[in-house]
Amino acid sequence: MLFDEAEAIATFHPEEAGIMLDRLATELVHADAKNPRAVSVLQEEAQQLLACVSDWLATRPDADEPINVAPQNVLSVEPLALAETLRGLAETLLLLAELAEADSDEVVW
Amino acid sequence: MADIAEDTEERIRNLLRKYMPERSVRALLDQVRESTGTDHRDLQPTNMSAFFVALEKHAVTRLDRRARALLHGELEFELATSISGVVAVAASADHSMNIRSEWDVSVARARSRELMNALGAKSYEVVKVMTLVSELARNIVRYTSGGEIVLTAIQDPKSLIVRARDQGPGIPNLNDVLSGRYRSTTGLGKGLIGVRRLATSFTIHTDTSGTHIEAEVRL
Repeated sequence: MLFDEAEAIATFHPEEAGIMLDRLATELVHADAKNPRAVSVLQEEAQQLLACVSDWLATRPDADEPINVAPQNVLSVEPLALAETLRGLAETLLLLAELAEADSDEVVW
Repeated sequence: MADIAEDTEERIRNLLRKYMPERSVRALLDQVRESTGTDHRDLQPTNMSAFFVALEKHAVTRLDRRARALLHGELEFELATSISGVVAVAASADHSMNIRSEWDVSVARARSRELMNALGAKSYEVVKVMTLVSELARNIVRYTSGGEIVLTAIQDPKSLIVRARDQGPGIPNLNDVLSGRYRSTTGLGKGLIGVRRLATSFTIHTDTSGTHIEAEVRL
């Protein structure tokens, strides 16, 4: 298991997670085109990171609307579609991080 | 260890079957056993690295140039994802990898994971380093003709230092890149900024003779 859930939530930072998801998305795109053996490893990493993100999002007291994190079974998702999902979520997390930096009174981590 | 050996044995066989018929796979494994004294069914952390080296050496005589390059990448990946981390950590604190191809990015990523696990890093820290290493390795493959990633494990206090070196054309718009004004066409533009954000310390030197980046993640 790559992630210990409680530990991951405790150390979670949205900007860092956004960067990680964006990088995973890029690696998935490359692996899909040139290195298929690496795809399953990346899918597994994505599933675990997404679970961590999902749990963290659920702890946000200011979450007015649910954020759709990922399909239930990441391992069965086509790599390019998964990369798109990861990148979309990365954008959301980076935006949340920017908002938090801009006004820490309105967004509570 | 038995599970690791059995799993690796099967993966080695499946890998080789893509390049040659079953009869040749058996002959090759016999040949490697005779030259190394190691049977592929009895692989341990202490003998696996030498086994893979011998396997590639004997396999290349049976393959054309393109297949050799592909097999080399696959064996590197297999070694890195099997137990190379265990072997490497036991052998030395410095781990140097040539970075030229798609495979090398995967190998660097896998090896950084093994090293961080061996250091006792938390899972979140492991992913930080994997992200950082794959970004630096990917940049070398994309923008230069090749380079090197060196991972240095520090035991006290625990940290991992990642050094990326290349002899490429340098980064002409470094200030734009590090200030966020440059937007990558392949991602969210967080490349080197992301590396700097994830690292505990980060230094970069770039000019027309190449780029040298050092990033440290403290546990």
